Amino acid sequence: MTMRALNIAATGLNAQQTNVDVISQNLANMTTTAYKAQTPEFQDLIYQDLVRAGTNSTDNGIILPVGVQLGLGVQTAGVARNTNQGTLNQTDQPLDVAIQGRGFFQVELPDGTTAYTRDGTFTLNQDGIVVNAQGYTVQPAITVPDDATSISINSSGEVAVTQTGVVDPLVLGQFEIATFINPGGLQAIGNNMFLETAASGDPLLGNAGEDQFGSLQQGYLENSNVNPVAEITDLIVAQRAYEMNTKVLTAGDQMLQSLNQSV
Amino acid sequence: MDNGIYIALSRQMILFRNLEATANNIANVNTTGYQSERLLFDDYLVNDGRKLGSKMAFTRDPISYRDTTKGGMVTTANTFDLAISGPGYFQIETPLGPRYTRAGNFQLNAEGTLVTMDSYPVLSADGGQIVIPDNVKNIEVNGAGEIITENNELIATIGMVEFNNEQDMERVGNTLYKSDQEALAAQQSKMLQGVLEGSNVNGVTEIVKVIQTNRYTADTAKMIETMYDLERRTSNTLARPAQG
Repeated sequence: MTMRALNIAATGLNAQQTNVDVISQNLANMTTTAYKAQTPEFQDLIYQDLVRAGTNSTDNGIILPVGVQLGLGVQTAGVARNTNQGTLNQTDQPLDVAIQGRGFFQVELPDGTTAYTRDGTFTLNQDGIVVNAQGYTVQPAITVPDDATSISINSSGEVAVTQTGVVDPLVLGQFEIATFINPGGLQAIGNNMFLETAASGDPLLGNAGEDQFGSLQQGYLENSNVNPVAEITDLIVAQRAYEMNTKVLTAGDQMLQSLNQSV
Repeated sequence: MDNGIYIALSRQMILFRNLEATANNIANVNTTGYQSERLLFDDYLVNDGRKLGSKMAFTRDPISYRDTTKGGMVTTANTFDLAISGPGYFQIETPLGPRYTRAGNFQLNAEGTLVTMDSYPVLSADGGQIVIPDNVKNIEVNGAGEIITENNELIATIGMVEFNNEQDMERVGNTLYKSDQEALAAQQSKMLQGVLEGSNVNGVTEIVKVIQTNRYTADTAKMIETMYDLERRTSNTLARPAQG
């Protein structure tokens, strides 16, 4: 005899395990710049119709209004990413840029593909090119001259420098922002970067502040949007749910035991 | 063999089914939009064939029903996390025909179509798919399910339907339901944005059921043992050769 209850409880334990995994990932990244919290989404598995609705309950044709449906447990439907804006944190670093609203910065990976990030912790490399924390060039490449005394980035992403002895600021270029119709479908590759997928759709490129593109804020970084209070509450719920499933396992086991010993 | 043992056995089988239903509820304690399943028991009478009017009562589970009380609302603040307050359902287009759900954890796919976690399109009030254009910044969904942009443009109205008999709906998994009834336009339902309806499983009652079911099985097992013992003693006594 297969014991469905034990298998069902096992699916519940698996689901809660996934839940705790995701919560711990969120809590570990509570202070990661521009990190987006993730939420596991669960669904019930298929059902077994033990008695089908609409069958005759007696010989004279009375029909059962509802049947007996037994579910077979739970599955993880997916882990969704919460794309809400994180709060902005003032750093006063001239090359720290935060995006307010939709969009991603583009950086070029060593293999030539483009990755997308909302982490605007930029610096200059040895050649004066604006790069992200991993040293990858921010697109389009902007080179800051040696003799620049200050760098300013406006809300539409234009980078300008002032030089000694020059009155007018020199505009070097403009950051391009990419938006996706489904940013939740991007593939995370670590280091706060994402890759385009079939689920995210093609990137739409444009200037910050125009149409749907978010605007930029110099001297700020976007905080993670993890809500620690919600995560801890979810953790408690997940732990209790795990315990309840183990309780079903124990009960199922004991029931089988009393059945076996009685004969 | 005595019928009593068979009656006890019918109860054991039902208790195992009850544990299965409870296990499924507990496994889905965190499933968005899940509603718990309950079993109803009754007895069925069988004539024991010995005496007119003497009947035996066996246990059976003729129906299971869905607890349609609403689950707690969880705020997520996500644009396309929707919940329905009231008895309504979202309409989902699947390859097997229309399905209904209370789980409003929707997403956009690569074409901008509003879809479920399983990529099935969510239908609008007039039965079409809902496509969100690329160039919108902010989207608001109001109580009637109307999707409105920051410029007050109406993109589409998300469909909400109600049924005359919520119990006459079949579960097909993935928190979807199927029904042969006519889907009526919602009258008493209101849509909420940035909110998800949690599972309505009550952990305490379910755990009490698990403990009860466990105890009942042990009790019934004891009953079977007693009856078996009785039979053995009877045959031992009657089969004993005459003394002296």
